[in-house]
Amino acid sequence: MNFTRRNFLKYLAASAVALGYSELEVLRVAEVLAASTKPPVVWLQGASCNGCSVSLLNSTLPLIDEVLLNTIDLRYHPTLMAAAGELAVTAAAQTLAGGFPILVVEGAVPTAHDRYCTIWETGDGHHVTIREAVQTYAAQAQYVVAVGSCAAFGGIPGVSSDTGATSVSGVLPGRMVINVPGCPAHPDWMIGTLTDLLLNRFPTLDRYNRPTKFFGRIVHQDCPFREREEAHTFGQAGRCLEELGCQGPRTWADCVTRRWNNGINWCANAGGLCIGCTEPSFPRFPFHSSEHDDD
Amino acid sequence: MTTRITLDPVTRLEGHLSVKVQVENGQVIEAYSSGTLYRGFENILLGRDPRDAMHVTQRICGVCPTSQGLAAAQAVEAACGLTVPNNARLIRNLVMAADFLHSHIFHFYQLSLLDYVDGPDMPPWTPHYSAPSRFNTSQITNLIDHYRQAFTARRQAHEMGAVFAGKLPHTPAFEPGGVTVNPNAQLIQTIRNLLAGVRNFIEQVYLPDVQLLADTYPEYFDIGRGYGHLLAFGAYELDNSGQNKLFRRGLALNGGQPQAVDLSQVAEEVAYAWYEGAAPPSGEVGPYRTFLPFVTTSSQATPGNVQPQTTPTPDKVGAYSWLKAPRYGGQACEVGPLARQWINGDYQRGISVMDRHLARAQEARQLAMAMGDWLNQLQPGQAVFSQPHIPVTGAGIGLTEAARGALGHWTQIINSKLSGYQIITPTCWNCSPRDDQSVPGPLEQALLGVSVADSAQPVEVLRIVHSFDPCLACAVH
Repeated sequence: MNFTRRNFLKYLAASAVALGYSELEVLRVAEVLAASTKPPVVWLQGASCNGCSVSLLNSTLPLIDEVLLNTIDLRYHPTLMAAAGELAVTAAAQTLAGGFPILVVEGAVPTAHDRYCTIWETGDGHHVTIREAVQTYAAQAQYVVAVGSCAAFGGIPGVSSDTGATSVSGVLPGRMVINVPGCPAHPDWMIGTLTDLLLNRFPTLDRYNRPTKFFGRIVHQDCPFREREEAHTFGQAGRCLEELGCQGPRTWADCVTRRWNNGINWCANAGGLCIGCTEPSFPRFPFHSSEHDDD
Repeated sequence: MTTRITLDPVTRLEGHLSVKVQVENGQVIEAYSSGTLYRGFENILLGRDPRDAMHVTQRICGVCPTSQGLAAAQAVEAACGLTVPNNARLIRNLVMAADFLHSHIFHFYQLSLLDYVDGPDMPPWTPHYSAPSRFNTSQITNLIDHYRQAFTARRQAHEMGAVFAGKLPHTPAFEPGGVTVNPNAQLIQTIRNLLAGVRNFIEQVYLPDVQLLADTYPEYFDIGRGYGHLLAFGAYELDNSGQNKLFRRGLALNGGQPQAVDLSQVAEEVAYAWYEGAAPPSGEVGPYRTFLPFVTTSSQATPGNVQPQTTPTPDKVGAYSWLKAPRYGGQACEVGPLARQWINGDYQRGISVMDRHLARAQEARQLAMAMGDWLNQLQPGQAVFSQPHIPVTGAGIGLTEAARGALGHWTQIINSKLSGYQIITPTCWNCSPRDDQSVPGPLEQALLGVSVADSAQPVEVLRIVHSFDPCLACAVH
């Protein structure tokens, strides 16, 4: 299933550049990723829409099949794994013994009642909540990565007054959690962060624990429409959307330069609002007004 | 001898599903389908600007977000009495079709195929059940190679959608009133190029592989039928009349011929779900109440008209699922590609596990072809958006189809804000629990009678569940 070594290194070099590594670093990245040992990763989903996993599948540098076949040992992922039921739970549990490198959590964590999110039932009839699974697996993981705004900050599920849905950090007091927000998170943001961890290079984080490599620019700073005439309705091509509610000026993410879906497009380029999906404040209602309750 | 089997988690679907079956003398005699996550979108939307629903409801599901966004936009447009411009109708069709194609390809290869063939000898494809595959070595090599190609094909389907959507999943482009993006010749050509590759994959790889599966496991044409009631709300508007859709609205009871859909027959029952009911006008409160989705015109909406609210009661004794039980005239109906193809008259071979896979692949091809037509009909330079004027009081229903089946948003607006929001999703129909009459849902019924060779490895159960392409995030929302 492997490429020839030379092709693989060339391919990884392209990936490394796309993920923000310097030329000096590229060869080291390629060498480490090409190493025969693949670090175990456990990917849990809580109060999630699966959008971040779907976004991960949209990765191009590297391709998702390369990630799965040659880069990580994905011991548990409910959407992709062959095993179901007890066999799947056992596969995850076996990773616990002796610890493992990376726990990825997608989705928020309800706290108001156990029934709001149970993710598996063990052989003795115990229903394991996402909160219990996160706490159990984080205790044995070297790194904990919260992907998507739900896991990072609570996101849309966090708005509920019923479920007490909170972030991964919210149920791991005192534990360093790397937040890779976005709704969904961009595949490069997720894979770039995992790659850093596989290289044992802890990323530089901002005050919300977001890697500055991906969240160090304000969308508005780079937006090509910022100097343009303002749009008064949607569908007026090439205009600034601030009057319609664009949250670009308050949103930290590199969407403008990285773009989405293999560089095809990004939100404002399609005339659509930036709704600030990488921010701890997301969702900041109302989306269609340039004024907000917390202004 | 009776054995109880629990599959929790059921993997290779979207979200959190638990399935329990009782097996006696090797056959399933009782089945329970349970959704185990609740987030509460209907309540999260209350009090919001109606236009925000298009963004928020997409986050119900990252696999089929565009359908949710479309239903939300359509509900607001209905409340405003607004018809979107032609370009917007076409762009919405193109983006949603791209989303269907990513989903169908992903469903067959990544979600379903591993029930019949083993993948590479490493996680996440190990561990796996040990039932031997009927495919020969050469077929297995091809299928796994196609599984790998499918990753690329579904990604390209998303790229195709993102040309107009901005980004997928979760597009900002479907604003109520139309779309935000203007088509031009270059964008249209970009989609054409990607579409050629995706269509080629569907015709040269996906369709033949589904046929190969059907030829190799033909007994699955007689497994997993369920009740045989099929429902579609219809989708992909072919003109501005609202009456001509690529996939028609209809109901086929007992695998019969399609008849008209009467929306007043649609209700959700909660006897076995963890919900309290709305108080009836008489003041009487019972533990098991029927939800009737809000179906009125603006003249009936008043502040005193209490809408059915979704009130979670996680300690409710006897309940076993976060899914409500949607019923049509009391009947548990199946929705999805098979229902759509059946009601269109394009596939009526039968209702079973294998029929669902075949109909889904056939539908994928139809959509890829239709996308070519819609690209031809786009008119660069023409309007894409018509400003909606949100009423102070009003109501609107948005009905469409997601990849997995019929989808509806029932909304009410008071003081220009959302005062009522009820969503019925495809997997809620398909994976529903028992209803107020204790009648099982379609999946629960479809599981009955199947022979399970090895209770420790109930692959037969998985095959039936996966044929419905469940999405539990949608089902509960």
